[in-house]
Amino acid sequence: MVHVGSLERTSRPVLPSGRWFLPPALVALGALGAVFLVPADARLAVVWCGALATLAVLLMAGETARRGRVVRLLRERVHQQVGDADLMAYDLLPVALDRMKNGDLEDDVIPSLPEETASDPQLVAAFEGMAFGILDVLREKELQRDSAKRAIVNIAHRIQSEIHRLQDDIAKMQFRHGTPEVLSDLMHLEHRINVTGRFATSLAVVGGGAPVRRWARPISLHDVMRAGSGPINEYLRVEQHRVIETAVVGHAVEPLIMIMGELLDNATRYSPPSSTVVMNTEEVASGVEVSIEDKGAGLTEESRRRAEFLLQQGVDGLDLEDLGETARIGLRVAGILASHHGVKISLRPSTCEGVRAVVFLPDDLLTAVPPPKYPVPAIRPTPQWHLPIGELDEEAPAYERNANGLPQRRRRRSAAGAHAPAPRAAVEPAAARRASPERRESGLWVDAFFAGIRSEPEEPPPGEGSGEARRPGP
Amino acid sequence: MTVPEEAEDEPARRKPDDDQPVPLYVVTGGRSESADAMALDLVTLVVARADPHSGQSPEHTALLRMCRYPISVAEISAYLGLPFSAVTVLLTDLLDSSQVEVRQTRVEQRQAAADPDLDTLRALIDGLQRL
Repeated sequence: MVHVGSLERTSRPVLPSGRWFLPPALVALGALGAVFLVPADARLAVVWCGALATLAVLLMAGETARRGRVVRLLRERVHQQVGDADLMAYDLLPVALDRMKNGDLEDDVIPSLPEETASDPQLVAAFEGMAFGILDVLREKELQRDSAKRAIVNIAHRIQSEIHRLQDDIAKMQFRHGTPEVLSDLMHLEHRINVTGRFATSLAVVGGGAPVRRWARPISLHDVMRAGSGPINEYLRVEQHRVIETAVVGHAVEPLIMIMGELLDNATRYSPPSSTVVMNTEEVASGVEVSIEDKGAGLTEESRRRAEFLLQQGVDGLDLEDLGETARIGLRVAGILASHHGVKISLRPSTCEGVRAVVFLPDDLLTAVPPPKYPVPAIRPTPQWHLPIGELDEEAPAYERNANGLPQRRRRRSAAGAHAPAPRAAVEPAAARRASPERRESGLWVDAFFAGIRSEPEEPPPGEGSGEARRPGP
Repeated sequence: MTVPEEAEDEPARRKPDDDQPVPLYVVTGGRSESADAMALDLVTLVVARADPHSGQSPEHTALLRMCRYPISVAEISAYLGLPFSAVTVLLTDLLDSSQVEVRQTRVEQRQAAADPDLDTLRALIDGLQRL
């Protein structure tokens, strides 16, 4: 009944010693008195009785005193154990639970009790048993949540790749079917598909995944901003003003397109349907700020705080139950992606009562604009064409007779100067080219064109005869 | 005004680097057809009349830059990676603001074919008989 741990304390004198000695002493004293009072022949018997009674009382008193000590010790132990239990329940366990909630499910999350509080091994064992029980339940739940998330991300990724296949197909079809009617329908389809793709990507991001599409090359900021307006319903209301000449590094392109898409979706959703949403860029210290400004009713202080909270919440703070709130999911997605790429998003009141979402892109996400893929000819005097569209560039089909009397079509440019009346339009470029010292450049586009067709390394442009090559006689 | 069937020769999947991040409907602002269906075709030559100014879309800027020299619509389409109809939409924008000029080559030929010059034909016959 008495534990080993507390046995040591029993040896310590707890009661003022000697008090328990009083009753047997009194009995002994009484017996002694009786011995002298009784007649001499009864004295022996009285001595025996007195001695026995004293012994009995002595034993009783001793036992009582011992029990009193034990009770006192037990009370002390109970106090200590209650204190320990308080420490475990109110100090140690909440800390451990907090850590578990934040995803720390290792064994060492269970705190070991301090040495002096380890009053009772059973109590310690009970505490640890309980803590591990909680840990097990949480681990189980985390496992389920993880697998549910994984399943969602898995499905979202499958939808995403299907959608990319569709996007690829549509892009090919847009080239294959050039008629405006078909193209219009294809564009409509592409738009709907892109909106669907944004939802799939949102789902993947919320589940802890990432956008599937990746870019190996940098994309100009202007293109990223315009691509951001692609997957939203009312993309025609988005305008870009003042875009800085810079580019976004490949790995950050798709997340930024998503972030801007979600912010633009939010902006167009909560502003009048006829108003525009304006995107602007501004160079700031150590980065670029892209602002998205709507002309809506704006946010109250409370809803602004709520929105900022959603933007700042990481992926860990998210429960799948939150998926029900569709309007809020966009801001979360933007917040999660931003936190992954060092992008900062803040919401500020706009000058015209709307909301101004500012996306800060740090310098390490930016790079130089890639060179254009088309040839840019050197600046030269533009040819002087005076004929409006649709008019013939020649007054009349002017043919000359050759030696045989056969009609021969005039070489349009190179020969024009040598022959009879030709419109000024045709003469001037030819004359200019002949006189021009930049003769090499005149044939560049032909070279580039043929080089493109042949897909071979560009050959040095031919010096002479480039005028001929440029517009060969029909 | 149809684009030749060149898509069949393409590899089954385009390289990711050829992809454009901006969807076509954003580039053209949702339009697939120029307001007045102008006689632009694949071999129409285009030349820029003005330098690009800031605030224009990247495609308009690119178009104006590459058209310093007369260039055909087919080439523009290839360089920009945009379908022919989309290029005509962009070109019409620039034509409306007089930033480019186009020059027809086919129209005159078509007209010539529809309305042959009798003098020329007669001269041709005469010349052939004299051979």
